[in-house]
Amino acid sequence: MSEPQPDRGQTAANPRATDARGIGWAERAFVFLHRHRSLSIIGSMALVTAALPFIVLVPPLSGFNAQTVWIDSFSGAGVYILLALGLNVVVGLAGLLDLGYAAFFAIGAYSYAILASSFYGLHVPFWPMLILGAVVAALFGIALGAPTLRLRGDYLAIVTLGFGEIVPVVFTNSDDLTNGTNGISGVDRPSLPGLAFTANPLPFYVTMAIMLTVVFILLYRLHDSRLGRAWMAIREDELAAASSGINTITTKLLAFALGATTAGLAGVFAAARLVFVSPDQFLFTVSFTVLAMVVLGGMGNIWGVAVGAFVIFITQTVLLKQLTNFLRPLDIPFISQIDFLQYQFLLFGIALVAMMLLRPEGLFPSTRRQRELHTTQAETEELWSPDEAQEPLA
Amino acid sequence: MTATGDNVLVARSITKRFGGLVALREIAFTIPRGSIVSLIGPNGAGKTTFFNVVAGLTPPTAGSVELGGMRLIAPAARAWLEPLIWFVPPLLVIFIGTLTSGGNIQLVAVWGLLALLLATLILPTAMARPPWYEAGVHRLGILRNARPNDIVRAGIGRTFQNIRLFKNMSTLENVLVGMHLKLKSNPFDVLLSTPRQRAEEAEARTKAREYLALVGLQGRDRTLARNLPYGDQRRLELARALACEPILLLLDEPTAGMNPRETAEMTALIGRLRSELGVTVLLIEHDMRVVMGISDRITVLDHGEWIAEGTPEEIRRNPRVIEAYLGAAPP
Repeated sequence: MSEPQPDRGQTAANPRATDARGIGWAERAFVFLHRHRSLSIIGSMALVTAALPFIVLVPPLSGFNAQTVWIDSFSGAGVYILLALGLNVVVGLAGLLDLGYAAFFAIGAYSYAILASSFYGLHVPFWPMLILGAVVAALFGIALGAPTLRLRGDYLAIVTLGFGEIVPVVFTNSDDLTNGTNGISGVDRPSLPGLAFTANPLPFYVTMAIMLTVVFILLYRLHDSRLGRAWMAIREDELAAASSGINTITTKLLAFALGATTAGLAGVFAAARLVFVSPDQFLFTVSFTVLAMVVLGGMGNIWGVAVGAFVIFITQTVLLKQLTNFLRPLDIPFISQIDFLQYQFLLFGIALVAMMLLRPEGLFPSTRRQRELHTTQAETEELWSPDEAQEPLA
Repeated sequence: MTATGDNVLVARSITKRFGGLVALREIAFTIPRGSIVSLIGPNGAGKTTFFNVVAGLTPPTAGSVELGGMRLIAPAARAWLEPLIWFVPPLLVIFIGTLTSGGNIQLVAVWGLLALLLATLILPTAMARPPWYEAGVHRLGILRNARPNDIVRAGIGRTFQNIRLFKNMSTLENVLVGMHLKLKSNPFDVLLSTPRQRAEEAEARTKAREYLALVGLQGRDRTLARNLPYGDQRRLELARALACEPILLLLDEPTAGMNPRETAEMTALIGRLRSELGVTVLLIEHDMRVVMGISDRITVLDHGEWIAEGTPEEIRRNPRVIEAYLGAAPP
């Protein structure tokens, strides 16, 4: 997987690219993978999925956690990767700042918990619920997006922030429907004929890997399509996009709905993995963490965002604890006393500030974003020309 | 000026007020098919306002615009009725649900979800504005101003006075965005990567390259728009506007900021667009050599008022035009 060139589809149309005579097998393979992106995604995801459980057997990683604990935290990381990928469509591609993204995550998780637990005595199987949870989240995405997407920038951010706060509060306070603060426990685990999803985290891990592969393929397809271009056009200049024939409202709505769909998927999976949902799993910190993952990973770049989410999640949940354990016996004054896990948001904040100062385009920027953020003074002034504020948008 | 049979655009007594300021006062305007018509006037004459009215960016205070016999733009009437169509049915469902479920909160929740489903069906449809929805809304007596994308759909493409490209997209992508309405693949085609969608995409890229070649940007398809020289950015904007295959092309100062050679090239290009693609052009321009060189008819505005209309030769001799541009001769 590599950053898609702005003009990837050209390879198919360009006769020179199909002429593979006279080049080595490595180049041939490269050309093949370039042209068959879905295959190369499947291949690389399979490689990574197979390699990760063995990589953690290598010291020092093997000393941090047992292999099963590692695998479990990888499927937890998968949830956040899904969330980051979905938010990347909304924020990175369409340029709509969404601060309440956890709401859709919560809606996905609660739809599974309500329809597949002993709380209501309903036991819809996991696999259809994966689709249904995503659809319910998408419906809420449309319902929230439709009235609010006329707003732009900061105003939209405030509305989504409000929505993100409302949803956990509703789940907290509607005792009859969702068991309030206590949450819903005893959520069904998935099941497949001949395969038990029990305490063994491996089936969850593989399920997540497959889900991610599918989402990757679909997102890359969207990215290089009429729709992906429409999103980017809206992000670049909404007025010019409208004047090119793009229905800005439905296009933005679609971005919102797709983002919500991905979050719904992640929610259903997370509920089934933890066997428990409660409102405090979906607070603002989740929205904020996912947004930070998107920004740190490199907004707009699909695989960059995924890697960013993975790195941040593993750092937060595994490495900080190990850092504490590592420094404690060294007996360095002051530093050895710090429990880094307790300071994770402080460290996270510092990392964000440092990143924004040193590398604002993120760890793995999309090429266009990199250029956008490293402009000369003259170009910056051009970007902020006052004319933009004057032209009305109908 | 009488409206003859083959007019691309007919604007009838367009008036636009911004508060107390009258930006346009009862401007009537027709553009015959296949012609190049210019709109000139000193700064603040209302040229760009007129453009924005025609392009659907600003609703007029009064008057209407017809494109190919279809009434496109008119002042809104009873627009407040429209949100009722969106919100009344779901609210009705919630209301009925609450009344009939006898205090059972779980039943209320189910009705609420039904209402949500209804709302999510109605709202996107209303926002996409399909023709049957439009017809229904008209029957209710609701008149709305067309949105910029509806105007493009009707066949008007435009460029901007201050270039508005998608700067961080490649030149090819810019043109492809312009072709948005010509591409028919829906999100499901894209997600499934259907053969139809792939064929359409490949075809679109070939066609986009042709547009780039037409404006003289061949071989630059991977360049980011922001990295193009100024003159080429103007050309690219023109290519993007052409990509929606417009009947009428609105060009807002296409040669502003260009050197004489680039200006001459742009003028020649505009002339070629008419002869090769049969596009009708409405031009706002300050450079009189350009205007006098390629226009069939010229309309002159001053302070929002129509002051003259005619062939370049007539306009050049018109005393009111000379007065507006040079000031009144001392008594």
